[in-house]
Amino acid sequence: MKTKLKPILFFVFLAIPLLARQLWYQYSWYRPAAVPDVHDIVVKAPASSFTAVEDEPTQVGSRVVIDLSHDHNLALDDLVPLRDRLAVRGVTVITVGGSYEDKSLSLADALRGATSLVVLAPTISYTSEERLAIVEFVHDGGKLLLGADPTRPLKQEEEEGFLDLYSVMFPTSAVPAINSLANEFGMVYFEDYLYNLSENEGNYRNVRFSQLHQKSELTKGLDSLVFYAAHSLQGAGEPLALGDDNTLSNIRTGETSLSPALLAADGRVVALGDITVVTPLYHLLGDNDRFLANLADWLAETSRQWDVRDFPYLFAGPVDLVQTFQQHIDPALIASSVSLREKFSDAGLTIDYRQKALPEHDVLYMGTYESHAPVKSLVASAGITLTLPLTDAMRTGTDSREEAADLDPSGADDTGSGIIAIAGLGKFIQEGMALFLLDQTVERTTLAILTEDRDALMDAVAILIFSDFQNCLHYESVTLCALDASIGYQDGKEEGDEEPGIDGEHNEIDPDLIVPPGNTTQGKILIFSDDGRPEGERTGADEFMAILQDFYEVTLWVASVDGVPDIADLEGYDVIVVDSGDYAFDDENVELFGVFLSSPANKIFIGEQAFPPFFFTEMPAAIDDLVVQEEDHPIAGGFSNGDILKLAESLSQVPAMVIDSNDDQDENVQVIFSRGPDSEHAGNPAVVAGEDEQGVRIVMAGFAFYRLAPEIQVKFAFNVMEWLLEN
Amino acid sequence: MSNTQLPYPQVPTANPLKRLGGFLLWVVVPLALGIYLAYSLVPKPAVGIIRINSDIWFLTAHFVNMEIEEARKDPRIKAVIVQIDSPGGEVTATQEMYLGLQSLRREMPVVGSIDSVAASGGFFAALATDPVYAKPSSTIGNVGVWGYFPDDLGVNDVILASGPFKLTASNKQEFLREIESVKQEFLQTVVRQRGDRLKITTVDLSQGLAYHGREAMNLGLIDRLGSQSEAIEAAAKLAGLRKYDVIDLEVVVYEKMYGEGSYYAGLPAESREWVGRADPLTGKRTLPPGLYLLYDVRLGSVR
Repeated sequence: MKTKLKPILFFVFLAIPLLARQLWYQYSWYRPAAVPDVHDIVVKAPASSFTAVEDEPTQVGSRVVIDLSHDHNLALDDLVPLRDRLAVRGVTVITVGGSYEDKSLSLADALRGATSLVVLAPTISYTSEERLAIVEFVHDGGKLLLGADPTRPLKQEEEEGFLDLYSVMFPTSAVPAINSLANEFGMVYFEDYLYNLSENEGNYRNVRFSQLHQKSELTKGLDSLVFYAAHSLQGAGEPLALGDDNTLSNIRTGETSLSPALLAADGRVVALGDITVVTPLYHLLGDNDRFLANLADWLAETSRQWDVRDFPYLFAGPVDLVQTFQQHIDPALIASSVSLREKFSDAGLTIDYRQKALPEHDVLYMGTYESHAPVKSLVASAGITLTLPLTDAMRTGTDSREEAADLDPSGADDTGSGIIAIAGLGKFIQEGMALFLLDQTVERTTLAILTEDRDALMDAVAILIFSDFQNCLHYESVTLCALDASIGYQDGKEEGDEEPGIDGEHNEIDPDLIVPPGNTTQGKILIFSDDGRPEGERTGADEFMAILQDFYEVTLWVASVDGVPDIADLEGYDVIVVDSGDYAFDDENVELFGVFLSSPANKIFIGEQAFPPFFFTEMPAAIDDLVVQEEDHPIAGGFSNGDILKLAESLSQVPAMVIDSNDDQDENVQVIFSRGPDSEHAGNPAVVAGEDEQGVRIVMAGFAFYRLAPEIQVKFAFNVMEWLLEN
Repeated sequence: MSNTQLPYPQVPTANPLKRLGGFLLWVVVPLALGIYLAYSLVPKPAVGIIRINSDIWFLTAHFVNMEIEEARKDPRIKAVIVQIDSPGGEVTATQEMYLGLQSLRREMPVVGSIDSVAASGGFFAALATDPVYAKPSSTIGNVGVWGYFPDDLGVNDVILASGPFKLTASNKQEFLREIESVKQEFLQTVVRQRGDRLKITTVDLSQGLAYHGREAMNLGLIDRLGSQSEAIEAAAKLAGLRKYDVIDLEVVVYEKMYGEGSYYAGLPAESREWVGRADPLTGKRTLPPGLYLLYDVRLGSVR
C-alpha cells in the first residue's frame, strides 16, 4: 500500500460509521417547498366617501312630533341631521317624553296638532290606547316614520368606565316594541340583520342597496342607499329598497330580495329597518343625505285631515273670529278670549276679532242656532236642518229676523226646545247642545260653533280651550257636544240610525229612564267594580250604582281603591254584582273568583272576561250584540225572543269570553241572551242563569254592562236584581 | 541437491506484527474512531413538538418562538409538528407565531396537528404548517377579526394633543378599515397557503364560520384526518427519517427557563396567563380595546 493512500483510507474508514449511522436514521433530506411570502399579500380597504347634499326646501310650517316617551335607544345627537332638515323647512318639531320635555304632554295630545309622527328605536311597546291614537292619526292623513335598528336593543345599565360586552353581544331585542306599532299597519320587523359579504360599504353589515322604489318621492334622485345592520321587514306595503342576491339575513337563511325599508298605508307610513342611515356621520355616505332630505320633505308635507278635536291646529293661517249673533262683541267672549289666544299662540297661530272674515283668512264663527245665517251654507252642506223653538212671534209670523225666516218651526220639539236634525244621524234637542261644523277647503278652514244661547256658547268655547271632547259625538264634519254631559235622543230617529255613543262611551243614565219594576224587593247589594286588572278601560259599576242605589241598599267596592275583598267582606249581602267591565282576566283573579263563588249570596258576574278562561273551550272573541232567547225568564222581562240588543264599542277592545253552547244542556242553567248575529260565535250564550247545588242563584254575562244602551241597562239591572232577590 | 537460484530477487517477508499494526492503524482505528464520532456527531434524529394550547397573546408567541429556536439549535430536531388547541387571541401575537413557523418551514418540515380547536388565530397559526392534520370533530376556521373601539373623543380645552388621533390613534371609520384590512390579510393568507387545495370561496370563508374537521378537509382548510402520531410520522417522513425520537419542545423550553421539573410542577398561574383569559368559572374575559383573532362567544366585561 502506498503511503499516500493510507490517510485516505483512514478517513474513509473513519467516515463509514458516520455515514452508516446517518443513513440508518435518515434516508433522504427535506426539500422545502416554496413557502408563500407575507410580502406578496396585497390588502386594500376602501375608504368611504362622505357627501352632504344641499337641497332647496320649501317652507311648509307643519308640525312633526318625535316620540321619545318609550325609552328610545337614541343618543343626544342622533336626531340632529333629521331635525336640521326639518328646521330649514319651517317645521315645528315637538318631542314627547325624553329628559327635558314636558312630561304632561301625552302622545295622543301631541298628535292632535301634528302632521307627522317620528318613532325611532323605541324599547317599550305601545299601549292599546297609543296604538289606537296613532292608527287614527294615520287614518286621518298623518304620516308616520317608524325606525328600529338591530344595534339599538333594550338599553343596558352601564357601570362607569366599563362596558358589559356580554350584554352587548347578547342584547334584549327591542323588536317587539317597534312591532307593536308596525303590526298595526300590517308590517313585521324581523329580529335579524342584513349583510352582504360580496359588495359592501367597508363591512359586511353595511349594505348598499341599489334597487330602489321607482316612483316614490322618498327615493327620488337616489342611486343607492347604505344601511348599517338593518332589520329586514315584511308585510303590507311596498319595498323602498330591495337587496340583491348577495344580501342575506343572518337568520332567514337562503332568502333573497330582502327589504330594509317599507312604504305602507298608501304612502303614509315609512318603516326603516335601520336608524344609523339617518344619524351622523352615516347620513353622509352614499346617497343617504339625499334620502334624508327626501324624508324631511315627506314628513313636512301635510296631508292631514283635521277634525274639531284638533283645534286649533286645524287652522293653517291667521284666524278671524266672527261673532254671528249681535253686532257688538260679547263681553263674555272677550273674557274667554285670553285663553283662546293662548291656545292659538301655543299653536303658532293668531286670532283676531272681525265683523266679517277676510277672504284669505281662516274663520272661527261663534253664534247661536238662531243667528246661524252667516254659516247657513255650512249648515246645509253638512246635511243639517235646524228647527227653532216656537216663539209666539214665530207662531204668529211676526218674527221679522232674517234668521227666523230660514228656520223651519214645523219640526220644533213638543217640549219647546229646538231640534238639530242631522241627515244620516238623527235628531237632537238643541238645548244643552253645542254644534261644531268644520269646513276645510283649499282656500280656507272654517269652524262654526252654534249653541242655544250665549252662556252655552261660552261652555262650548271652553270645550275647545280645554280640548275636552269626552261628551261629544263626531260624525263626518259635524261634532255635537253635550254641554251638560248628556245627549238627549229624540224618539223619532230615523230607521237604521245607529245608536251613537259619545266617543265610544255611553251617557250618564237619564234619571227619567230609571223606573223600577213594581214588585221590586228590598235587598242589600254589593257592587264590586273589578277594575284592578290588566288592559281595561272601565267597568259598569257606576251605572249599576246609578240605577240601583235609590231602590236598594247598595255598597260600591272598587278594587283599584278598596283592594281585594275576602270572604268576611262579603257577609251580609243578598246579592253581589261582580262587574269586570272590559278588563282582561288574569291569574290573580282566579282566587278572587273563588272567594265570590264561596259566598252564599246570589250573584251576577258580568264583564268581557268576568270568569276564568279555563271554563271555556273557545278563545275570547268580539261580541257586538245580544239576542233574547228566553223571554219568559224574569231576566228577559220586557223583551221578546229574537230582540237584538246592540252593544256600544268596547273601549279597551278586550275580547269577551265565549260561553260554551253546551252549557244550556244543564237543566239548572238557562240561556237568557245569546251572542247576536254581528258577534263572533253568534248563537253562543251571552247571559246564562241558574242555581248551584246549594240553591245559590248565579248569573253569568259575557259582555261589559256599560256597553248596553242606557234604557237596556236599566231594564236588565232591575230584571237581574228581581230574579236574584226572589229567593 | 543443488542450490538453485530463483530468477527473481527474493522479497523479504513482511513482518506480521507490522502488518497487523498497519491494519489496526489504517482500518480499525479509523473505523473505531468513526463509530465513536458517529455516536457523538450523528445523534438519533428527533421530531419536535411545538405546542399552542391556549389563548394567543404575547407570552404564547414568546414561548412558541423559543420552541422554534430550540428546534433550530437542537441538531437532533429534523422536523416539527405544531400541536394546536387554541381559539386564537391577539392579532399581532398570532402573526408573530405565524411568521416564526413560516421561517422554520424553510428549514425543516412543519406539520400541523389540530386537537379540539383551531379557530380564528389558532387557524391562522395552523396556516403556517403543511400539511395540516385534524380530528374529524375538531373545530376549524372562524376566519375573521373583530374588535371594539371606544367612542370617538370630542375636542376640548382641557386635554390637548399634537394631533386629532393622538389619544385614540384611530376613529370608528378607520377602525372599521383596519378590521377590513386584517380580514383581507387573513383571507389572502388562507388562499396563498392552501392554494389549489382550497375548495371554498373567500366570500364564504369571510362569513367566519367554524367547520368540523371532516368538513374542513372537504373544503381544503386542512389536509388529513389523523392523530398526533400520524402527524409526527408525516413530519418524519418529510424529513426522510427512518428512526427518530420525539421531543416536546415546550417542556424543553420551560425547563431551560424555570429549571428541571418545572413544567410538570407548574408555575404560578399569573405568570403564564393572559390578562384577557376567560375566567374558568364564569367564562368572562377582560379585554383591552383592540383587534382580536379570537373565537369566543362568552365574552364578558371589557375595560
